[in-house]
Amino acid sequence: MKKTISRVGELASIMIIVWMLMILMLLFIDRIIVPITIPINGTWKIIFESIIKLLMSGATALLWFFIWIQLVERYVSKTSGRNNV
Amino acid sequence: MIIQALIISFISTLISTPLIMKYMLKIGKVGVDVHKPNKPDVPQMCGLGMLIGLIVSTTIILFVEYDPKILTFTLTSIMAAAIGIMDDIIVLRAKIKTSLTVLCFIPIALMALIYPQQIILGRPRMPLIGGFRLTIVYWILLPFTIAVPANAVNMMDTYNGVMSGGCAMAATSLLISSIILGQQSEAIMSAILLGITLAFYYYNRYPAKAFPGDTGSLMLGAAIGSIAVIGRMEIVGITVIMPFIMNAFHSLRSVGGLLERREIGERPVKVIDNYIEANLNPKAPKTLANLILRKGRATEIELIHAYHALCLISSIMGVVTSILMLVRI
Repeated sequence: MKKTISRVGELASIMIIVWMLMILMLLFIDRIIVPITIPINGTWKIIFESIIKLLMSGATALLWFFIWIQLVERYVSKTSGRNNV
Repeated sequence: MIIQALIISFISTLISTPLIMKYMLKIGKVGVDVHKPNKPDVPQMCGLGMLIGLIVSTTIILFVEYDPKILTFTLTSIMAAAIGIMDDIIVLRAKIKTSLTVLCFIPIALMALIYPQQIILGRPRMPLIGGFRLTIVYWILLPFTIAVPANAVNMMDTYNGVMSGGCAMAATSLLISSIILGQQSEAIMSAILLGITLAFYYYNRYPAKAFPGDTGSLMLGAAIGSIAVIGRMEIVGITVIMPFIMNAFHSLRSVGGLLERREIGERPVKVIDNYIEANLNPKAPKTLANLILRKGRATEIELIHAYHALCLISSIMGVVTSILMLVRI
C-alpha cells in the first residue's frame, strides 16, 4: 500500500491539479468569456462576438493542455535516470 | 431496476465469458501474455462475453420498460464492439480503427433527433456553473465524445485487469454520480456497465485467463462516453477516465501521432525476469506504465495496483464533480 502510494503520488497530484484547473477553466469561460460583448450594432455583432468567444475559449483550453503537458514533462525530467527499486 | 440491471448483466457476462474463452481456445484465437516469464497463451476476443451480457441485460430492461436513452446506449456500444470485432479478426490500421470509432456518435445523434425531449445534446452540465449552452461547437465535438474514450480505454488494455478494473471503477463512479444527480436511466446504464465489467474482471484479473480484445475495450470506452453524453455528464465522464486519457494523450504525443505498434521503434517498458522497468530512452512512448515505473521497477501485480490506485482517485474525483454540479456559485 505504502509502496503504491509513493509510486503514484506525484502522478495522482498531477491528475488532481489538472482536474481542478479544468473546473477553474470552465468557470473562467462562463464568468469572463461568455458575458463579453463588443460595442457594435447590426448583424455582424453576433458573428464577431461568437468568433471572439470561441477563440478565447479555445486559447484557454490550449493553456490548460499546455500546463498539463508541462507538469508531465517536469515529472519525466525529474525521474529520468531512476530505474532501480 | 438499478439492482436488477446490475444482477442480470453480471450473471449473463459471468456465464457467457467462459463459453467464449473455450471457443477462442478451440479455434486458436489466443494472445501471448508477454509480461509473464513463461509467456502463456490466453484466449483473445473474450470481450464478446461482455457484449452478450450487455445485449441480454438491455434487451430484458427494454422489454420491461422502453427507454430511448438505454436503446441509444446499447446501439452505440454495439457499434463500437462491431469495430472491435473487425479489428480483432482482420487487424485494422490504427488510423482506420480510430476513424471508424468516430462514426459511433451516429446512434446518439439520430436518437437525439427522434427523441429531442429525452436525449438533449448541446447542453452539458458543468460543476459550479449548471447548464451550459453549446450549439455549433457541441456538434463539432460530438463525434469525439465516443471516439476519445473508446480509443483511450483501448490503449490502456495492456496489463491483466487494468482496463476492466479501471472501467469497473469508472462505472461505479458514474452510477453514484447518476444517483446523486437523480438520473434513473443513466443509473441503469451505469449499473449494466458495472455488472459486465465486474464479471469480466473476474476472468481478466491477474493472472488473466481471458483477454477482452478490441471487442471489449472499444465497447467499454464507447459505453462510458455514451453515458456521459446522454446524461449530460460530460465533465464527470472526462474525470472518471482521466488516467486513460493521460495514458493515451502522453503516449501519442511522445511518439508523434497514431502509429502501428511495429512502427514504434522503442517499447515503453522492459521486462527483466519478474520485473517491469520503464524504458528511459527519449523515443520510448510515455505511457502511464512508463511514467509510473520511472519511480522504480515493479512486478506486474505492483504495476496493476498502481494503475488501479490512479483509477480509484479519478473515480472519487468523478463523484466530487457530480456533487459540484449541484452547487452554484
